Amino acid sequence: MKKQIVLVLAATMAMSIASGCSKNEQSGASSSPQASGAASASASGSGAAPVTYTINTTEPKLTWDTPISKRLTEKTGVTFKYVPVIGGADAAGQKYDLWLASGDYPDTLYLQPKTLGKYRDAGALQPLEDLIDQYGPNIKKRFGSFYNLLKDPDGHIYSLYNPNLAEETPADQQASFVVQYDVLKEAGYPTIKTLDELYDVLKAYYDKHPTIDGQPTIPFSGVGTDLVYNNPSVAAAGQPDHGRFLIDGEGNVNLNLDSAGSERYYQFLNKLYNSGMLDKEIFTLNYDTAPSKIAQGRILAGFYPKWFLDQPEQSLRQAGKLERQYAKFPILFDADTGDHSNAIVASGSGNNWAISKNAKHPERIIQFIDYLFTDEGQKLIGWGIEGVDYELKDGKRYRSDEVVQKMAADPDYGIKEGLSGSYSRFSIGNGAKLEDGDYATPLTKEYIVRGYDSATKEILAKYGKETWSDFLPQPEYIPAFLWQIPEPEGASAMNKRLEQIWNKESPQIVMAKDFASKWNGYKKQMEASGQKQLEGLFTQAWKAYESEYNKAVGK
Amino acid sequence: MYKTRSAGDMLFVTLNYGLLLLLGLFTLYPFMNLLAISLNDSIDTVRGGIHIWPRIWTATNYEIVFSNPQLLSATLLSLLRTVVGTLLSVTVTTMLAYTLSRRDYMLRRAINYVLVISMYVSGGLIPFYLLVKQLHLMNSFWVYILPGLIGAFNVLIIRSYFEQLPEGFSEAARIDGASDVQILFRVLVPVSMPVIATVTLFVSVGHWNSWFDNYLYNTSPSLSLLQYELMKILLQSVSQLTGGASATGHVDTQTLASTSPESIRATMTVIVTIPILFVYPFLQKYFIKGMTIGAMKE
Amino acid sequence: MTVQEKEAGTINNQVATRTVPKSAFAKLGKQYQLVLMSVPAVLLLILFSYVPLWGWIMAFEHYTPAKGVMGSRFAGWDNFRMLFRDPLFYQALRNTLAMSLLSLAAGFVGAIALALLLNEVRSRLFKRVVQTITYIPHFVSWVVIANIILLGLSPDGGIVNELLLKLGLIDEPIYFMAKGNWFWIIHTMAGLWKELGWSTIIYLAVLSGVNPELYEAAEVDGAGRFGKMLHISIPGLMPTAMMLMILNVGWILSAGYESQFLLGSNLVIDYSQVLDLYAMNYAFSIGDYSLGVAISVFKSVVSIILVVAVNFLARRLGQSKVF
Repeated sequence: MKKQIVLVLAATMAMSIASGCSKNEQSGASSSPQASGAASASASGSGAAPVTYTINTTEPKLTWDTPISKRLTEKTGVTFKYVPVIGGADAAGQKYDLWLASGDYPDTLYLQPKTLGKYRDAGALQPLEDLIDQYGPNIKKRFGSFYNLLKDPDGHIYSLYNPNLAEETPADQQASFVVQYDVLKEAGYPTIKTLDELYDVLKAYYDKHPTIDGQPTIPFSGVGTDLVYNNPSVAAAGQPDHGRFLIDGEGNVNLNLDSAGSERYYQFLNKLYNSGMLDKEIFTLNYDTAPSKIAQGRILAGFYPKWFLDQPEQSLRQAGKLERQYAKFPILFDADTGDHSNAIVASGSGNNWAISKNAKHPERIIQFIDYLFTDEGQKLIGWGIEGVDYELKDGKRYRSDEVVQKMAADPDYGIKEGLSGSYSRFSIGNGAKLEDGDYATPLTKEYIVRGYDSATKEILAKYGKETWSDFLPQPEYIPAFLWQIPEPEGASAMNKRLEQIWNKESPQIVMAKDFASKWNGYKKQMEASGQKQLEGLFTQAWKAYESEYNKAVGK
Repeated sequence: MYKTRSAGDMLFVTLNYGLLLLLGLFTLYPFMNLLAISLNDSIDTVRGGIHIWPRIWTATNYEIVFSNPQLLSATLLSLLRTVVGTLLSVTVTTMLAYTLSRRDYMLRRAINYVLVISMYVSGGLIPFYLLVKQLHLMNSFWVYILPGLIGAFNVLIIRSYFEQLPEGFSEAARIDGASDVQILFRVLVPVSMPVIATVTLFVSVGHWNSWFDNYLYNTSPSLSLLQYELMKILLQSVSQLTGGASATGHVDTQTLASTSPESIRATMTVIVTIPILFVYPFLQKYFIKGMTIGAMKE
Repeated sequence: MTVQEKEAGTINNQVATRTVPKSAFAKLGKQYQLVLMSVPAVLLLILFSYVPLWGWIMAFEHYTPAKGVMGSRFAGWDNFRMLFRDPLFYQALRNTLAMSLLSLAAGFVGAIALALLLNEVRSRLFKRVVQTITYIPHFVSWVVIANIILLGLSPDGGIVNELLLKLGLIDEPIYFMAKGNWFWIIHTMAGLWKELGWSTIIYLAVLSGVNPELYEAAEVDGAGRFGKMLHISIPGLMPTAMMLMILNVGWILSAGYESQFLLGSNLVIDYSQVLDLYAMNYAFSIGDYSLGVAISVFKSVVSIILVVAVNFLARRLGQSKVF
């Protein structure tokens, strides 16, 4: 009796280990990422035979069971099975490393260049250039003179993305310096071009209205670290967004964090701070706490990119505070500062597709991507299915109000229809046109204007514009953004060291009574911490890329 | 028991109740705040200022969470994991703790060291992942149960409780010829219910709340746990907010999220926490003073 | 304590002499039930806790995921040397120790005090309700708790500042989250708020195991409420408390990182950066796994030394011990 109990308990444990194994053999075979593509692909030989591949995604709701995905399968025979990877950037990064360490990665990888680099170095990726030569005529056609940009330094192509073929500024682009409608109204709709003009307008309004809805008015605020200190100074200098760097005419890369432009911008913040016009807690506002302050309607101006501002503005509209929404102006240091901030790059490199060693018949994936680059494919992934997601009006593609309302009512509409699949990344860009002369995506001016409320239309009319993108300067093509090219070896550790100084000193400079000495101390510290070395590394990398680029596009 | 109450006693009782009441209010706030946010319109929530009462009532946040078709099966699997995992773990833990409380057990010292040191070492994620793969535990239910089956901390807590019991107990049983198994389950376990209930709570809450092993090892939807599904919904709302749906920025301005991460997070926490709040009072009955040793002495 | 243990020892000696083993193996054979109850479990523990330790090799190489653990370049002690030369490492170490010790002290005293107070509550319903409520924050994620704290302590209309202003204690709102030297205290209070109720559970369990006859006897001896608390409840808690204390000393280099990450900012980074955050900076943003593993190895070694040392000390002082 007593022995039995012990034995049973011990046996339970032993069994649980054993059954763990056997259970796995049943379920593991069908659901481990690498198995499925191989199993079904091996059965296929001819062109349109059905084949299934796995692909990772950070969008947990993505499914292939949508009208558009199915239409793609009809056309190409290819089906993708999504392998969701959730948990934010850090957790996802861990998972990609674990995949690589264990060989468990999917057939198709949908990853950033940095991660793909690790896979490439481990020999986990298939080179694609021969396959593209054979099966990708449309890929070559769309990339045109930019085709060689796809190549890694070793001459192989390991990943695919889209070329950005926009011929005009996409209609949903907007500047990130923002000023409340009511402030503009009170000042008589002035044109605000410089930080000084902005300061004066804010001061005038603040003096007259120290409180809004009974709470203290905040003339200027921000969120996070980069958006408070770095990005606005790059924008005010009229420079393209190369992250924390600036690139001069000779291709020299300079750190922005202690640049002359930064000095001027810190001065501006310092002035706001010392006159009590800077948000008292700007140094600790995060992405959770900042939106609510904006949504209260008492922040007059700030530096907020569109992706951040959309939600609090929606909240303002819902609360009926239309006059507390924001105008989006490009604001510069001086009236004669040249504005080159509206940069367009040909390479749409970001999250790219690569084909892993686990995929059988990689040509089928290439053929799939090749189809996406046809006009038919572009219409399908950009606009959807004719008669359902869009219609033709005077020969032009048009998204009806009915569909727009459906989209507004159901945030998952795009996912359910298949408009937001992982293949969407192969769109040739908002503002780009197909061979039929019409836009490749629905984000047209007409469409954007339709979404504006009355107060926004009114303000825009005062300035004689239709959309916020109209305020932006002419787009300029640049070879790439610095953060798109591979980081030079050793740069990240140096970066981190400089970042730590910057993080620590920035608030102190803004709050300084004696600005000049604080700034100089900071600059010395940065220079003593390997700034020149880091800049040298990046300059070298940039110049190498630039000459490759010039060669590739035949300059 | 306490027949007379002095003035000092009265003062103490009043202060004690007052203090505990205050502490209760203070610790209740975060949950009330989440409850209010989960029932408040998510776009309105962005404005802030929601404390313990919703401003614009809505059930949308719950509807969004419950619209996930996998939620039911995930909940059932989470329950299964919690029940199976807790039963196995508490049984094994208790047995191990008992052997270690036996001062004459030859392997006691060695096992103690193995146990204690295991709490302070970790080989990191990559070796662990490869181990799980090697054991063929990927895509299996048992990866939820086996790796965490023995928590050294819990073993030590139970061991310490066993050691505190008067030695006479098990000695009497032993002299009557009882085996170790009988001593443990017939004599020691009944008088150790408070600590076993505590460990049961720790283990079950751990199982109920975990999702990372699901995320790392089990990609099959049939092995999805509740917490994992909720994490997915939360992440979805985050990416909707930042327009991460596609890399090309092909996001329609007009299709703004009907909910926000803040609201979803609040709703998730409420959904996951309420079952735990129901289980705890159930376990509390084992904490009643005096039901244990006093009774045994008779 | 010592007396009890000595008594226990003699009893066990009697047991031992009674069985009179011929050899160690034979003795172990006699204890086969104990072996069956412990060895399979321990083997499982070894499998999942010790086998993966081969990953520590990474601390001694320049690991890259592409080359794998076996293929990466050997580095010797380079990673550790780099670590011990970095002044930020020492700052992180200091912050970790400070916050750990504060949390340990506050949590220890707080949990025992709350357990004692709850133990004095006669109304079963009130006791249960308070107990349940105080442990709820354990289930609320740090993100939520941190945001409540940030809002409450905000210099722009935060409730704490409003209150202090109304009471006339201050003239200007205080920017709490900008004061480096307050960060440790704020972090400790936040941790207490979140975990106090949860850590009390274990003490309550122990208290309910205290023999009621002891209380009755003390009452007969004329002990009051405090007398009983002092002479019966607290000694009853001590063995468990001591054990937890020893175990926690081993975790002294793990002060958590979520709250520091969420409550910290550029303004207080000199006080909020802890070892785990420091390690994560390397592992994730720089992609240097090896340094992350080196930190983890360092932490493990320190932990084991500390636990063994404290355990030795406790044994010397006649307190309960872990090993």
